[in-house]
Amino acid sequence: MNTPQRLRPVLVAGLFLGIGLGGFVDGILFHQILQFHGMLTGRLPKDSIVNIETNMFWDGMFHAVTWLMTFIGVILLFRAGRSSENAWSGSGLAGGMIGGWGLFNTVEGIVDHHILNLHHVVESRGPSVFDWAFLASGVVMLAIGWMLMRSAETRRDRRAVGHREPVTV
Amino acid sequence: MLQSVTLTLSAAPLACLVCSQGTGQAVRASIFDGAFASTLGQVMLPAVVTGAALAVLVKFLPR
Repeated sequence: MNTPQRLRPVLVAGLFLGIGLGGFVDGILFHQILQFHGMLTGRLPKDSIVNIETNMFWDGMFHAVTWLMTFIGVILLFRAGRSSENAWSGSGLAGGMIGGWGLFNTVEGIVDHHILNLHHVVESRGPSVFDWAFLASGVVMLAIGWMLMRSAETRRDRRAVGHREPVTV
Repeated sequence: MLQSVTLTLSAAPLACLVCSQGTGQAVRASIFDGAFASTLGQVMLPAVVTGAALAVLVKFLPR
């Protein structure tokens, strides 16, 4: 029987990419396009130029971290693709990315929205159902990502059995 | 401490963090106030927690 290829490298790359790109979705969609909140709008409401600029600075720090996560993900994916011992699994990558996005939403939701109150999803409403919806989306995406990663494992194992070398007697 | 400066958009010169034009000085004072390290720690806390969660999660991933 063929030795199953390693799946973990592409999953870990996917997780980093998901965290980074999920962070960019938050930053680009909620901070910039919709302008629902800024990084510190729970404490510095955007009611003055100085507060807007200060929020923009901390948004930049946030985006620097999401950029770093994405960069690490690209490097890990590149390294995973270089070795023939690693499985090149689309569902594994998708599962990692969705799971990573879910992890970002879950942690960001708990820490920033519910514990530190740095900001809320829709700042004009303060703590609201939108915060809970954001958190729920994170948990759901984590679960979907986990299932996809497990299904990638199952497929990988089936493939390994399917490609069994013919036994010669 | 943070100082809130209210300016109307039409009269407000552009803020510049690098040179000291416009509201740049006030913005710098707002960012690099006495609580800068604390704010930085709070903004970065989710990244630290995510890293820790990732370290645990990876152990349970398929090999």
